[in-house]
Amino acid sequence: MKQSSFSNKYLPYILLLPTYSILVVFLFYPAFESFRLSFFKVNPYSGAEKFAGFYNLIKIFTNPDYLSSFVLSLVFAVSVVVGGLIVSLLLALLLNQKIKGAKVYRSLLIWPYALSPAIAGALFNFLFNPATGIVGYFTGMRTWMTNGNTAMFVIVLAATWKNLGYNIVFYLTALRNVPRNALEAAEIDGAGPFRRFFSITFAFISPMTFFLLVMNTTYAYFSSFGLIDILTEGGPAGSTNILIYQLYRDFFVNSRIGYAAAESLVLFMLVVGITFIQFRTTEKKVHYQ
Amino acid sequence: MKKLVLVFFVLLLSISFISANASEDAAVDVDKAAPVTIEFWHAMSGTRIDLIQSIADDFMAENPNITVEVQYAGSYNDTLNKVISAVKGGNPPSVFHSYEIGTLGLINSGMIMPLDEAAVKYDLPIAWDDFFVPVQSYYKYQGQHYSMPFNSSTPLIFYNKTLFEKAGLDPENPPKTYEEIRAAAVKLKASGIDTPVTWNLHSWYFEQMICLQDAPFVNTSNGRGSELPTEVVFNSAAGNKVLDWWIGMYNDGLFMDVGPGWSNHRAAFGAGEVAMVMSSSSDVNLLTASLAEKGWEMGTGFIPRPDGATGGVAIGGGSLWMTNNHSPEEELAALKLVQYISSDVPQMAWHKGTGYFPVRKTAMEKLEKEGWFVENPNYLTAFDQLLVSPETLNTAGSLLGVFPETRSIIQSSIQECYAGKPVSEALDEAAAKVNALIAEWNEVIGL
Amino acid sequence: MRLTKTKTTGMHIILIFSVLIICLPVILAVIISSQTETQVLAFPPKLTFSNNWAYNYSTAWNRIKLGRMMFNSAFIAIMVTAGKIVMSLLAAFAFTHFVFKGKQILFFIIIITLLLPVPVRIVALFDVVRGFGWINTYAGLIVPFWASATGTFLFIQRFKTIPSELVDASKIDGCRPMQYFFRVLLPLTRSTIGALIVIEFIYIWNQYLWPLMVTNTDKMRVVQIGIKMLMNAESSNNWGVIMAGVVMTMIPPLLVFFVMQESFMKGFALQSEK
Repeated sequence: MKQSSFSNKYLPYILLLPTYSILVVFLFYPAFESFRLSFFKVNPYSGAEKFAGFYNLIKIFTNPDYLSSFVLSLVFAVSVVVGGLIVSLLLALLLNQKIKGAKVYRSLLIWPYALSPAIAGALFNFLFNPATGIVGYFTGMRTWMTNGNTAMFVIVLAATWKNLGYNIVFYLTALRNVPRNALEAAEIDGAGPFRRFFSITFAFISPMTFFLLVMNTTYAYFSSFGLIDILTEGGPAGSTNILIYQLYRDFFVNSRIGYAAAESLVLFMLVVGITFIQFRTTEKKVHYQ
Repeated sequence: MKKLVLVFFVLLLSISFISANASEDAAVDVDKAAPVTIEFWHAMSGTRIDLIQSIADDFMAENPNITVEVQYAGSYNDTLNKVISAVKGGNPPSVFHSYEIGTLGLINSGMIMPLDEAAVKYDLPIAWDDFFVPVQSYYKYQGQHYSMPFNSSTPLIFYNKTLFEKAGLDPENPPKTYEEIRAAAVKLKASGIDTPVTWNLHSWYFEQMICLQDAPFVNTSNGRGSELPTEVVFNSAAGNKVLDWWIGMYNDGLFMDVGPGWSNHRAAFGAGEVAMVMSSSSDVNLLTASLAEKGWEMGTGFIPRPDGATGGVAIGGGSLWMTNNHSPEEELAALKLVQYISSDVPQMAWHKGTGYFPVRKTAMEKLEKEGWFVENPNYLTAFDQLLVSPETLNTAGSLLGVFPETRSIIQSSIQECYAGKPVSEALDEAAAKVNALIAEWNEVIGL
Repeated sequence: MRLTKTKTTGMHIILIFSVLIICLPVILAVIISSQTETQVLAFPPKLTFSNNWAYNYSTAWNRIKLGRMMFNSAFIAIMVTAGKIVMSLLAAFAFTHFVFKGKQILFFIIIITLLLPVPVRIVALFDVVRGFGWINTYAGLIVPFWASATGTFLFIQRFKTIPSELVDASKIDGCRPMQYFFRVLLPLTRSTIGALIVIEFIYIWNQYLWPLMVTNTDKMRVVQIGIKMLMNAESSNNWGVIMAGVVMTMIPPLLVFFVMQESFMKGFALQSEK
């Protein structure tokens, strides 16, 4: 689509100045400082540094636990993203209908998003723990958290659940912006609800879908450590030890500053790569008028 | 002539008086009466926040020139990270609270004023003889105490006397050895309790049960020698014995895996799903109340050892550290504060409010005189366990720089054993991982 | 789509069911907030309301001075959200309505910042903030979060869906860019602004790590630190009190969402402007 634009030469830079000043000072500089430390050995108390070249990076890539963490993170991310988008879209579609009490339903379904990760973790622990878990009681199966596979399922469930509100809020916005005339015209033409959804609604919300794809991916890769800390501490036997969790521990608990910095650098580049791929593949498919 | 002699004597007296006072303050030039404000950061949340504040308030009442700003600074990790940031920023708190496993790191951090050094500097000696041996020996390194013990606990066996009776076990005679615990568990299982024993997945129990065999956890005299430790030795025969027993009970369906964290095993005990748990001695009140809700009676016992083992328990918990780089007035105030907190009255209030040990024997005697242990016999068990622990470098507790990570690794290994990995293999692999970390840490700490 | 009676009832059923499932943990929190310390740990689980409300809620409120914390969190959340929205709107406007050198690179850079979460840069960020003298101040809690890739990205997407005929029309009318921005663009962006308000408010409301590092006194603390203060890592947690605190801290974000619904539920009116 050809976007018409204004022709001022300097105005765009002025408009971008506030954002970029903040970004440079509070995001880029600290991030690069952190990444720089990847190439050093650092005393956690005094901050004294000794140049170590690729020492930390080599340690990461020769660590077999790291590879398994890598795979786990991928599994986790895909599950959270796909599951989250599908469920929240379905819910948003429902909530978008003209029925009584829609507002109340909406608030109730968004509400869980306002819980902090620690509390969400604590609540899921109440549900799934081996000793007194409520779900365990009703399903007769107690090993949700102590079996590697089901533990992963539980944290995927918790992380997806936690982010539903976020996705629903944005999908609702997008749905509201689907022009009614287009839908009405299609209905007059005799298109059934599924057809109308796939050829019209879906197309109009595709920019939002793309946005949520990126956001959910970064959420899955960067945000869930608080939840995992409470629920599984990365266990059992490392089966829920995703990259960000290990990074969080190495930085804040184990104080392995140089190594954690290297982990964050690698994680950053990994997600840049994934995001880039997402951009490329969906560029064609995202539909603007 | 008489006048001259008088003047002479007055002069002599004045000189000796002045020189006497001068030598008193010659150690450090400090204004003991000047108003001073110090910050105290701790990691105790919940009801303890108010308790600590009231202790601080009492201290301030006794020391009107000192203002203490008390602050909850997060978990132990959060507090430590905040302190490190504050040190770098040039204004750290004078006193802060750290977990015991941070000890070796802090000793080597360059940001600490060792406690004994401060006591000498300001001539305020601490009556270490009055402290329980294991409590103060943890924080003693190379002959010097570095920090003030604050919240000390040991693990304890808690058991359900009512369910014991039902299973035909003697409720007044808790099992003490590995074999006895196993036998009791078998009987409990027969009486209808599916998996009668549990404790939370925490490396602490593993460490303690090695201590009980008077075996070290790391080399160089359990980390207390003059050299930094270079390798762990928990994959020794002693370590294997602990896990063989622990995992053995799990494999035979006698032990319930409740995962990490401190809630689940307590809940299981309170619900009667298990009849025996190991937990912190500070849980006495909570667990007694949990069982009482269902009309059950609770008993406590020493934590188990293999037959013939002659070791003791080490304390866990935390201590209070003084940071260096402060004015003498601030340091003196900090020293006075930590000494006050360890004195009898606050210690008794602390024990009653939290269940942690009072650090001094005189405090315990006062509690005894009050009849406290008659009302709370289960607390006595914890004390007795502490008192009969021999003083060795092993029961002093092990010191290690990479302790937090080591605990994660051990816990993960135990989970691997639950899933079927042989104990000795898991322990050897864990030891290898930790040794690599130690080598890195030793290098980094010397930078 | 016309809704028949059966369709409507059907939807209600599905919605109620979904609400129950999704709100299950929250319902659990409310139930627990009514129980005593030992009731919480019961097994089989006691899933009925008890009557320890007064004790739990008053303890949670008083012990951590929740009122002050709620004020702090709300103030910071509002300030951050306002700043973020303003800056992102301007940035998005620049990207979508102008052609300028370095556009691609600058855009890419903004996207990159999405991938630099707080934990990765927290130590150096702390040093920067300390350098400004902002430790334990509102500024330290607010300013670092004023730039937002999310907001910019979202507004860019929104602006792109607005037909470019509107721009052409306003150029013909002699409209200057900022006039266009305020008169045409802004009113059409209400939904997105509303959504962002909710999201950013909750994001700031749920922050723990950064406020913990940067605040040192009771006066400056935020609600998540308060919740952690009710929880005790090693020793017994009174879950009744903790959940009471949690329920209370969930109400402001809920209110924000309820209020904002109006704004971002407004549809997009396709109007052609002369």
